[in-house]
Amino acid sequence: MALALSSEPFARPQGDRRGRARMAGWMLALVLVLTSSVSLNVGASGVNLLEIIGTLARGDALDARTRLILFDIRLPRLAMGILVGAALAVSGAVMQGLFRNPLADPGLVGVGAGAGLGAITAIVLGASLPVTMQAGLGIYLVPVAAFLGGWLTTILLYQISTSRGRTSVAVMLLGGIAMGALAGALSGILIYMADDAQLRDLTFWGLGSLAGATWTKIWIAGPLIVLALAAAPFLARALNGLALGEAPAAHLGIPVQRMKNIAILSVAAATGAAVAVSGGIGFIGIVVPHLLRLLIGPDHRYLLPNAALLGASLLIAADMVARVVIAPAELPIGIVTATLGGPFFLWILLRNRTLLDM
Amino acid sequence: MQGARIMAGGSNTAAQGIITLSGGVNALEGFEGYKQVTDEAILLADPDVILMMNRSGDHAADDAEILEHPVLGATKAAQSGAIVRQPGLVLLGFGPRTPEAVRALNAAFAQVQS
Repeated sequence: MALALSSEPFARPQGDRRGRARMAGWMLALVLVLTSSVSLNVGASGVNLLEIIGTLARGDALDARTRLILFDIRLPRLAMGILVGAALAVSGAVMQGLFRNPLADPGLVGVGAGAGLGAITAIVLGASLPVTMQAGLGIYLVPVAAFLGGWLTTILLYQISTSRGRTSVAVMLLGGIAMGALAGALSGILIYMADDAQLRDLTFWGLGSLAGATWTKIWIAGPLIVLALAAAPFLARALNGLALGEAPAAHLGIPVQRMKNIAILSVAAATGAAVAVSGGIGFIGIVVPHLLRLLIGPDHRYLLPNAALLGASLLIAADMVARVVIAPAELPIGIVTATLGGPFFLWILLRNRTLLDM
Repeated sequence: MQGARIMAGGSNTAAQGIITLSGGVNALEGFEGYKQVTDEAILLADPDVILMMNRSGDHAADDAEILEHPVLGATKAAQSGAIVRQPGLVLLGFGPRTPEAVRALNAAFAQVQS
């Protein structure tokens, strides 16, 4: 019996989008560089890069005010935008992969609700803290409380959903909803206690902002976010395997439980740090991964790094709008991401209704 | 001031009212009500005096914190130490204690001008 050998060379499987994904990676890196330079270029004051380059080219030193605007206002804000955008987008992609659910976002592990509760507690009850603690934390009381709140909620949720060394994703999902409701109720009590000024603070905190980016904040939040993001590439293959289901993934030789631990911890760290420094910025975590899946397919090896690039670019662009449109005041960035992103996302959805499958 | 973000009173606020009453000019007038302002705008406005409530809690910021802040620290007010703190009710309540706030603020203006 003769073996029927095909004379054609072994064809690449249909739907292989690796080439496209690499291409997209380069394009997104370019987009990030472009948005970053534009972002450095605009602001309420007229300082722009061309002028600065011109001054430097003439061999003159920059005056103190320009240096302040560039290095202490715009640059830290840009760095924070990149960090927070990347953290939110990658966390979203990891969560959607882990929960095998297109609606998952970083908030699912309880970070958002917990951080919100932490922040509200600090705003409303901060005044009753011992004076030494107030003096020690000063204006950083709210971010620290938000991070602690987010982190504690995640650890608690993880404990609830883990029994006999196995974390149940379903329990975590439902437990997250329960914890969210509980945190919402506690926040409600605090909101009821708050006075007018505190209420305004709460509302603005919930809408998020990159304002007040200082190098101090970046040195605190940056390492956490970078560390968590560095773990993501190691999760990519496991997340791909997990798309088949937990049991098949385990049969493929993926250490499912260890991978869940790493995923949950890194998402909690990245999102917790991001939320602590910037408040609640919605939309990026859920939309960026979906946009990319439509473009380059669901392979996490490409999805995760591209999500970091796109998330960072989007957040920087949104922040630019937030800073400039109503200067000298500024718009909370959550408003910008939702008003610009919502309709755009709907438009993409309407065009690709048939394509969208996780 | 919250996590190094700055909220400021624009036009049509009690804060502007008390500043005008004390013979000063609000440095940030491009918007209505109390809003979060961009750092660059504060640097542009470069206020001579910073007026804030001395309520405890997350609004409190002592002189060291203001000097440490990259933008507020660079303003004329912070450099010359012209930071006026009054209790919220005295400052913005427009009640019997309003003259106290006006006197304190006016003294700060006079000091800056001399």
